[in-house]
Amino acid sequence: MSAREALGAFVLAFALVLAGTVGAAVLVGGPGPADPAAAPETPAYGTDSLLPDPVPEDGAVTAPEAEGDGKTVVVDIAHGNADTVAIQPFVNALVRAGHKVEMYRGEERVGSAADTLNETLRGADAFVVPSPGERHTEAAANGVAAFADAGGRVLLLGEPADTSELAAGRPTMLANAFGVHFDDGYLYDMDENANHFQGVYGNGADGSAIGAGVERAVFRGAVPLVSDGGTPAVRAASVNLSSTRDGGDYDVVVRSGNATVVGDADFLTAGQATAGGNDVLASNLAAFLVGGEKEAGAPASERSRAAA
Amino acid sequence: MIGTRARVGTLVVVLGLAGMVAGAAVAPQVWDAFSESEGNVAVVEVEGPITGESATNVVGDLRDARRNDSVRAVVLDVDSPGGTAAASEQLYLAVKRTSQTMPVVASVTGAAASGAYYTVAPADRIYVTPASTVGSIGVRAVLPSDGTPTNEIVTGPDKGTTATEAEVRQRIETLRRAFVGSVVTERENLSVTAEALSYAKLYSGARGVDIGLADRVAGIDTAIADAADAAGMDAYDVVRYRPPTENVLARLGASGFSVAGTDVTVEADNGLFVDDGVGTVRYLMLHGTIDTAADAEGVSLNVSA
Repeated sequence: MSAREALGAFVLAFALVLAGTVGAAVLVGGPGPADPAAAPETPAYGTDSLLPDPVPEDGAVTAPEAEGDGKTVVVDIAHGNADTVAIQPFVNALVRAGHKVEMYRGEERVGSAADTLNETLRGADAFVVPSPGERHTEAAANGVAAFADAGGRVLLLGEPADTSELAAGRPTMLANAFGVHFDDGYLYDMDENANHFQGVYGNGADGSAIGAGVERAVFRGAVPLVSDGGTPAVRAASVNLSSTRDGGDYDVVVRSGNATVVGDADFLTAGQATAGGNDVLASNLAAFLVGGEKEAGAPASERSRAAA
Repeated sequence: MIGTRARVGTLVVVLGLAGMVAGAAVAPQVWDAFSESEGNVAVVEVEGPITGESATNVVGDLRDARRNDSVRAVVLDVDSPGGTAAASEQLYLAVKRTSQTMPVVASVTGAAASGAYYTVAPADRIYVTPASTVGSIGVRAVLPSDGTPTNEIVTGPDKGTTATEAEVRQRIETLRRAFVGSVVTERENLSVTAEALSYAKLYSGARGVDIGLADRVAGIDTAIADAADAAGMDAYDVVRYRPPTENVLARLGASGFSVAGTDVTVEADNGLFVDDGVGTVRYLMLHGTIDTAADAEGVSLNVSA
């Protein structure tokens, strides 16, 4: 075989293999099959049902206009409450209406701490305790009870607690002095809620001035109240209690004499004071606080009461 | 000049070559047609916490299975506590897409919790054992613990901060609706309401079958046989699609999580589950206790809960 013939054989074999490859590629090669599946249907992702409606935020917290010098409202920040809740919209409403709002810092002075509180309360018309982190003493509770007996108005705000520790977010000693107790656990509603299972709605109870006009107040993290002789002001209907999982109607705001206890402190904060019916409830509570007539000079100091 | 015998010889060589090339081209098809196997069952593993990367791997495996003509059924081998919400949704959609063209059977070999349950929900049948767990149908938002840094200037009030509490609430409510709604759509024989599912309980395998979150109590081999049977195959091969990262690396913590017994610990510097210095809200479909303290070592998940 000559060199030319050998070269020819090489070229022929090369061309043959190439042709075969081209043929094979055209016939059985090419890109893999397209994805045989179509896009899946996902009815649960339809945006109509997916996006929750935000809780309406409108209205404003107001307080009744002051007559004369107005009332003096003392807010307790001496028991670990300063960190827990900032009730600025509530305080602002009172100040704008001409009332005085003082912070009770519990400075230690000669005499017992309860004496200091009594002295402060003597010059006050109303006392607000937002979600304390520390206990109040029994003496303090007695002083507040005497204050209420003399016509002073008391507002106690509590929060649900994880532990069974006394205080831990609720003014248990003070509430007990008025026959009101905080239940265990928090309220939740899986069905009708303010975009979260712990955001329950409360409505004003019939015949209650504090609950008048309160519709769909939003309580995020509420502890129900049990009272002996108190008047329910706001109720959460058809909700469940986390500790027992029992469903039913639970009281969230209860009035007992000159004291009102609320099972939630957050509803007065800037982020929530105008959500739903909270502004109506807050305004009613402001009116409650400045609506009393307190005797001058009460509560008397510990020493004078003990001597009496 | 080439003589007749030489010409015949050349012709023989040329035709021989042509024959070999043509034969080589069609040999694979002939092999497939005449081999006894009717197809493959692809076993796709979904193991460990679901991250964007692990989800991409599984989605890729499912895509390969769909495009491969010889794969006629898919079995999901699941042992995962869930993971990020977005990655879990991707897996859900990929499994749903796959179930449209071939039988998909899930076998829960450990836990199919939260995001992992989202993944198996569209399967045609879910196999469990009494000790395996399903459920935890809920969402959690992990908020960064650090405040806004003070050494920066931003162009708008929402740029440097995390979302407001109301926004986070609405977002997880949206994710919850999508999750619960999808499970209710996929599982036709549920005996509990959407409201009950929203409690986000984690159920044992047996209880899961009782309420309709799972179908049968059996092991993975039964699941594979069931998948092959649903695809009409008597004789089949089993092909296992493993995640590309080796378990050795996972044990060394190189992939961000380590497994010791039934506890899975996600390293603190794994930015997927806890804050890595860029504080954003993380939306997770994950079952386990998350340590959100600033000095936490990381996320510790007890998968055997």
